[in-house]
Amino acid sequence: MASINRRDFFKTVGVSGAASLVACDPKVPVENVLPYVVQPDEILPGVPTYYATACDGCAASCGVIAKNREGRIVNLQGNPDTPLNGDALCVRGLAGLEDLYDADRLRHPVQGHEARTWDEAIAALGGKVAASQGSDRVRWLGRYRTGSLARLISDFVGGAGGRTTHWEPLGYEALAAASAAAFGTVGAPRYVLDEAHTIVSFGADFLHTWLAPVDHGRGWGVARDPAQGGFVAEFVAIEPRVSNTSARADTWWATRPGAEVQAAFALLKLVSDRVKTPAPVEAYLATINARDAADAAGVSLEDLEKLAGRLVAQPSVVFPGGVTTAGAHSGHLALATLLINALAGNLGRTVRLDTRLGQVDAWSDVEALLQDCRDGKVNVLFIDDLDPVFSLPADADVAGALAKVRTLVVFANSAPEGLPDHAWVLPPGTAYETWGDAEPVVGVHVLSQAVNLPVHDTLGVGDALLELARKAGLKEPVAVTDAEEAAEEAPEGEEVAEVATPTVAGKEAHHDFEAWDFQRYVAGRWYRELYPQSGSSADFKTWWADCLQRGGWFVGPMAPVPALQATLPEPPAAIEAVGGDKALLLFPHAMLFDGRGANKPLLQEVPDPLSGYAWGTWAELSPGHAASLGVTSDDSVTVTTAAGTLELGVRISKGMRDDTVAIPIGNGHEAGNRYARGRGANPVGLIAKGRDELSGAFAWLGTSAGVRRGTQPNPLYDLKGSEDMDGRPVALVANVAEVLKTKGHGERASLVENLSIPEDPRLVAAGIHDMYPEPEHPTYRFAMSIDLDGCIGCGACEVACYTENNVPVVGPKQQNRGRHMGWIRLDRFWEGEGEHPDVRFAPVMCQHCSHAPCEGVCPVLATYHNLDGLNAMIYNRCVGTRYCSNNCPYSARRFNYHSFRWPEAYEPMLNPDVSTREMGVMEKCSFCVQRLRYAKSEYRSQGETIPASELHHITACAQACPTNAITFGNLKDSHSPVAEAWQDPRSYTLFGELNAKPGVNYLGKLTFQEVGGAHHGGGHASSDESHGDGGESAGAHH
Amino acid sequence: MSSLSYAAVTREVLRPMFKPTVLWFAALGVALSALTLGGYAWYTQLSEGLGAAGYHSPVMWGVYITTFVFWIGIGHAGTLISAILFLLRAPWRTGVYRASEAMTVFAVMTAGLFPILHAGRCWYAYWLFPYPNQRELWPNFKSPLVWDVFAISTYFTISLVFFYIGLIPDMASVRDSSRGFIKKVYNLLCLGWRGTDNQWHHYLAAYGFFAALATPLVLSVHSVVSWDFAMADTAGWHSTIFPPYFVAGAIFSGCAMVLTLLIPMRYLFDWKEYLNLWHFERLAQMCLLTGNILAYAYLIELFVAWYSDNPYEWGIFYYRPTGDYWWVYWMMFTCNCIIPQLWWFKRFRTNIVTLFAISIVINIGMWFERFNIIASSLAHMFDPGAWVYYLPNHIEISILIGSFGFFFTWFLLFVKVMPSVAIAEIKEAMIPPMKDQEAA
Repeated sequence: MASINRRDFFKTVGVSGAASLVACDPKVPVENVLPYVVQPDEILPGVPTYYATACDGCAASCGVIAKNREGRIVNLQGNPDTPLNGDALCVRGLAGLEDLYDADRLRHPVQGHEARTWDEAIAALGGKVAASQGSDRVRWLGRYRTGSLARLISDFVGGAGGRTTHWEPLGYEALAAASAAAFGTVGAPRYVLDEAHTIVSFGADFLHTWLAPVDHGRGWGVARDPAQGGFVAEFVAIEPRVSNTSARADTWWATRPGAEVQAAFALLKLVSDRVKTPAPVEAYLATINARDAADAAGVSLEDLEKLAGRLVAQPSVVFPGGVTTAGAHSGHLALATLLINALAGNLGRTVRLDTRLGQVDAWSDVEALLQDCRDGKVNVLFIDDLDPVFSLPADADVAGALAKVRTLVVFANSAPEGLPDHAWVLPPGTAYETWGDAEPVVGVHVLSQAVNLPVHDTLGVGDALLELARKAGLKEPVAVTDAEEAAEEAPEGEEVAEVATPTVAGKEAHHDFEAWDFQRYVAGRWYRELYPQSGSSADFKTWWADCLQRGGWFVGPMAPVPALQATLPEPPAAIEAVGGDKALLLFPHAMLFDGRGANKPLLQEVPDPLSGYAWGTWAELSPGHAASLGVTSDDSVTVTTAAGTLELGVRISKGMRDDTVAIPIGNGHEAGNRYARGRGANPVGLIAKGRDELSGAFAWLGTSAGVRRGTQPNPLYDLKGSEDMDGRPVALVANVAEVLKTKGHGERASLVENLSIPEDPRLVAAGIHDMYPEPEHPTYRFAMSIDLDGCIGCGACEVACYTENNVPVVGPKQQNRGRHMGWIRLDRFWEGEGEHPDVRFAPVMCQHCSHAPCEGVCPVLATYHNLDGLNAMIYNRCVGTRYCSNNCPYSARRFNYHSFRWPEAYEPMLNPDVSTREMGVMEKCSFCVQRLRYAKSEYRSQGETIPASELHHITACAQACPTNAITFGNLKDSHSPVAEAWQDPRSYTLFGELNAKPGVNYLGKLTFQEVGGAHHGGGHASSDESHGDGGESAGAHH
Repeated sequence: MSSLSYAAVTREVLRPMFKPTVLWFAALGVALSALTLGGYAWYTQLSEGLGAAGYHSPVMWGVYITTFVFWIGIGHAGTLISAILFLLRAPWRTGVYRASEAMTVFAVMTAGLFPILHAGRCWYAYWLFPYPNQRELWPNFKSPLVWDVFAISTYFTISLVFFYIGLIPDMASVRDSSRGFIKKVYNLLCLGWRGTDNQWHHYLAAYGFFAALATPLVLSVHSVVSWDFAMADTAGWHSTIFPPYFVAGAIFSGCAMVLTLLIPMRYLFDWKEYLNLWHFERLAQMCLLTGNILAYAYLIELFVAWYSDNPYEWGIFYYRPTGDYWWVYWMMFTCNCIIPQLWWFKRFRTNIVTLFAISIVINIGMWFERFNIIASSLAHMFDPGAWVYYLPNHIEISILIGSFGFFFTWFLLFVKVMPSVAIAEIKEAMIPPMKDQEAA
């Protein structure tokens, strides 16, 4: 051993290290992915590397920056360069790593219950495709796809002589069909809220689950910010139920379920009365009487008239229907909203007909496909990432149809439910393990790099299709050849050369089929189609590398505003509201969406923003309905329809009509992983299939249900505490007009009514404000500002906080005992009644007080105020007396009841910069101290302090917030956005009268209603005056 | 008592120490079973974490702190009776003070368990003591919990010493009545007491001195315990009325507990001569006085909360009688403020059955008082978005039961090994032998 020298040692280590890397998975070629901003010479342990990629949670295809530590992805955040989502992501995107590290996902292809290899699968299925070629017997049923994969699917299925059907359960089929009918365009429009003075929605849950929620959220943040544009958008929701989105509505008109289209017709008619109306619209409206239509919908005509006046006066956005309003006329509802937008001059401005939701097919096409299956006309059916048996009612008989398909191939990471035994399930892996691209909006090309080696033996859909195509001997897809050309034509570069000419197992790829993979297919399409458009003077490889680093190529050319079609469809002759006992409204779960989030424990854990329920399914009733049944939220009810019965826990919502009952879709899986399976109930089993006559879209509305008192207690636990603020000044409001008045006048008088600290004039004169001195903050006083008007209750901050800070998911059993470890509690206070719901969301985390009540009472000094203004927590010193929690007015501290453990598979997801906590210690928000420390040391080495631009979105919550409601910064820097927010007339600190001097301030929510008198505690200017009406104002609330 | 001779007093008081009865064994069996149940619950909690109990944020104190304050409160009557009433020369204390002092010592021991078993990481509970360590870490002297450590350990030490000093002449009596090894043990324990005039002279001086030392502690320890709450900003806790209110409550519950313990002893040990209605009536009057101080405190709290015009303060005081915890509040109010009013009537004060029943009612009421203060305030803090409803679970109830097992195990062992009535003082109060004959 003595003979080994340093040089030999490094040689050995180097070679064996490389060998072990190669040996990891010989099947998967080692690909180079390009670092985004920080581009170190080599990967340094402890130094994260960031790669741009994309989320494929839904059709919005948000850009993502994946944080890579030592070869594994530990965090996802939005890609600030992408025009649609910026650095924000929605809850499902943020929890995307739980797909990657899913403990129960398929690790290899399976057929029935038998494990198969990819070679077996490709061989078997390639043969089947070849055998069925050219006779419309190879069919595709898949989710919305754009970009290269959509092209490849179409080429592949087309090459095999079959047809594709792209459909999603809670999709935009009616809207796409209406766009086609009105303007001859393909796909749903893009709604840009930034300039909208008025926002109208007929049931679209556009801030949470509908179309591109993060994009809409960003627009909401701009449209509702009085500092930008000098206006505040007013939001009118016209739908039977207050959804998570319309909880933020300024006005809610509860339409008769199924009759929303009448309200849309009335509004269209009233708008057309005010502007020059093209002949086709005149013809469309010929039979419509505004008053009758408004009456039929249950909306006041006068209100609609006022709204119509506003719509034509200023830019606005009119959203179509969502799932709760997708009844028998969803196509006409969508068409009417498009026409309103057209007449109001919104087209091309706030409503842009330039999205690319691929070939959006309708439910009627799916039905036809299923009929073909039943008739034995389908030999090979591919299902791409859909769970049709779960998503469709029993009378659609999907399982029966699938059983008749000779060869059923499902691309899914977890077998969907109700598959016949002969079905093949091919795991494609997640977006983070595969290459791809997407074009959610014309001109926005998002690239998705494989940023993690496949965790299991998976093969992306694109790669699998290429292999199958070769096996089946299909005609070569055109783009692949071009990829080869691209590789050839491009001059030899250095590292980037490997991108276009990847090597397989160390061998230089040649023009043979063995070298084909989807990455090169994508590159080829980009070379052939996008590179020429870019007009880049750089060579392709440089341009391509730049696109990869940036996360895509974003030009966003606006499509010209298309002309109205000469003839529009006839409006329906008779429109019936949903009859029967109670109209059954199904709505997408805020976290789980159509059910695809159910396998993520984090999304199950974070409570629904309105009901406060997690890990289950509930039924929403109006207070009057609940009272008539004699049930409270501690009880359950049975909901019975012709199709079935469910017994569900009760949620009493003031945002419901008495003649409705609402149930969230998303849970009740019979398949899926350990978190999804058997959780809650699937309300789709209660409805019958139905369709919209115009578009063929699936009708989610139209079933009537009987609701009876159940026998069981409510199994769900409400994590939202009180329904309202109980008269306490917590989430405050300011009047829009008053706020706009103060702009530019330099006025700083507070516009929110909060309790104040009684001040003794003698002490003030003497300059004494506090008994204790202010803590020292030499360089930083880290602080946060939260705009309550920006807060839409989406929960992105909560989810981002969980993933960044290794906050444990405690599971349903613990949660039903009231335990929840989230560092952010999203308060929800339902303050309004009827037309003005006035739901106030307020994220409350540790307020990092300067005079923190928690610090003084800790007997062992485990929590203290540091020089940066943080309320620091020393886990190792904590004994667990929990006095700090008792003394925290914000109830922001959490206790480790147990040593919470993650299933082993999820452990790689843990942030290595943050310790996990053992049982018995307290924890709480740290303002992402690990990120602050990292930034501080980066800048300190250059002798600088962290600039405001860097701090602005440094915490996970601020970064994730789609509406930019959360601002972070240094209060010592008086020009920082956070210091400016502190001076806003809407600014207040929570329970400021306790004088804890929080490091978080809130900006009051904006309201169009009069403010004042509603809350106890205004005008405490002098402690002497305040006694008179003391008891009654607070007491009156009870 | 005039009919008794000194020898008879010694014999009768020491009688329970010689023949363990079936009843005693049965009682010890029950106490040990309760202790075992509590021990098992604690074992479960230690292995699973504090999540085994019913806590959920933000209710971070519950049954354990309730029970802690309950036992500390119980521990007040002993020192009050032995020290303060000694200094005030109240003759009725003679018969009852020994048992109440023992109760104090055991109650403080029981109470002392709870801060430990309520801590999330109780194996580090010693960090609350200011012991020298190489990390130079000290506790936070600003924290009321650290004050608690000092207050309770001081109180326990003084109570124990005072208890022991009172026992010295009586242990000599035990020595004189025993033989062999046991005699040696008691000889050691009584520090060779011979009962000389000189010894008595010093003894009484020391006893008076310790009584004077213990007196302020009666007031201080529960004041400090009340600061655990009063120093917090939590509405319903943050109140200057707490120290006197807690002290009154402690004496109230302590005197009730003395009644609860002594009434059965009177019958079990046939001590009708030493523990009679005269004693019990005095205790009942004590309860009536302190109970009404307490009732006043309850009412003035409500008034101040209403008058303060503070939405949080009024919110919690409105919530307690009308909200989720209404049953706790009304349990407390009925048991502490309404039922004891019966003692205004002499026949309830002088009836053993009502005395015993009401003393139990007060014990229950005082436990609920602490539960009412702790749980309802935490369940209903400033931010309505964090409001919850906490109920103790089986682990917490088991540990509560276990604490009674712990207390009664000690107490039953005590009555077996020490004289539970102060022999020397009883004799002091008697007419000396031959005195009456002299007079005649």
